[in-house]
Amino acid sequence: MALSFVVTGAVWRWIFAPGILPNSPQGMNLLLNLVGLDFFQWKWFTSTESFLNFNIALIPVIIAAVWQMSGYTMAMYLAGLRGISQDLVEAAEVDGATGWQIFWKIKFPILRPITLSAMIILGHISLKIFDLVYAMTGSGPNNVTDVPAIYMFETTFRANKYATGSAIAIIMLLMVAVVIIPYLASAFRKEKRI
Amino acid sequence: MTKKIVIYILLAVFALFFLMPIYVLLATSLKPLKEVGLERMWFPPNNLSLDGFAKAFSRLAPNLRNSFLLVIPATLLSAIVGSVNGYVLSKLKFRYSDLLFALVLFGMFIPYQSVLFPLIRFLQDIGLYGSLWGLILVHVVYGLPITTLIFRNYYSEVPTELIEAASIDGAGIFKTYLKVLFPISLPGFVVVVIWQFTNIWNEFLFAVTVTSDPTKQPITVALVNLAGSQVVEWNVQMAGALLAALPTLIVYILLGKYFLRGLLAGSVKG
Repeated sequence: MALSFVVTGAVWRWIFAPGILPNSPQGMNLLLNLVGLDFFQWKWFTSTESFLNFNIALIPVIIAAVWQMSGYTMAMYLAGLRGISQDLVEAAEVDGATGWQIFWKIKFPILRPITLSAMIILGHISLKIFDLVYAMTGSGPNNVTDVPAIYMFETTFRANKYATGSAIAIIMLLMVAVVIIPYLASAFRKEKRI
Repeated sequence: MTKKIVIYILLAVFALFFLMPIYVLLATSLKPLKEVGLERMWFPPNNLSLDGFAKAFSRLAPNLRNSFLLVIPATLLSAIVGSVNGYVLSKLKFRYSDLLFALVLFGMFIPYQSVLFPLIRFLQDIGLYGSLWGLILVHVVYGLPITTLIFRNYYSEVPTELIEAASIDGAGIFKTYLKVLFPISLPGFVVVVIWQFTNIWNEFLFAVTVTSDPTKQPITVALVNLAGSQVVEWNVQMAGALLAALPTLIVYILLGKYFLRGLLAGSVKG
């Protein structure tokens, strides 16, 4: 999270640069070649193919986003795990629970609020993601990697359709509000109770 | 035993996944241009070369300077205003102050796009469009939710008796803030300043829309534009990315603890 999405985008764009298939693969394709998976090559974000209705071009973007944002969740869970009392774990051990059981039956349920926070925070970041996609692919060939934020940007500042751009922006606001407002409301109610 | 092996293999795979981009970034940026080609991408450079860095620096230096000119005032201003906000919202409760705080917090989650166009019109009206000062203003305003949140949480741990004692001694609102709260705010300021520094440095959307003149753009925009030309010199590109990441990386490496605190403050809510 300390890195800029733009920097991450630049690096992953280089890693997933497809090269000219099939003769001179590059980046990830080349790596797949080197480890003997040469049949598993895609044109990555220059691809317009889809697999089970899922755009292949989005895969590099998703991988980059996961790389960038998982540190956030790790920090949240780490803080949560440190807060779990050791007594609980010891009690479970006395009862003969395995490490796996201790995690899934004790720690994970205790951390449920953190899971919720993480989903909501990362969810709303992903809903409005812009820099990463812009730095990696833009809207991509055939708009395969078009996301609302890119669409809004292109409509407003490339096509100069301000009204349409604003409408897209308002829809984005509504999408984020649907996720965020209940979350904030419940957080505040909890605070009041304390 | 096999379980342990599986776990270690999994851990190794994840570690490789997280380290790979960093390796590629470093290796590519240190290669001379002719080594950057297709086949050698995953290998370390044969000859170390700082050409990439020299080129990237000469092209990005003005933007690097812009970024500093933008980040330093914006960070300090938003930290100071946020600290006053936090004081008022935690210690001088008034009617609907909690509702007001909730509304301020919502600002943290608003997609920038939804205010972008009115914002640009406004900046044009007050004559700051296209200048770094306009961008500073935007970042100060957009930094307020998180800085207010951090300071409010920080000040709510200060005993209210302290404030009451000051007001009995005849200190007004501002004097109480300056003489009582401000001197003990250093830990709060460290967290807020680091968080804001990182965020404003990394921000892209406002930077690209508010400043259109390339000589005034901060480094994130310049980095994306660096790739815009026909032939991408990847070693220059990677060196540029490293340059753009360096200030925040240094801050993170030296003061990561405080950065994490800011990060968690954003998620572990009011």
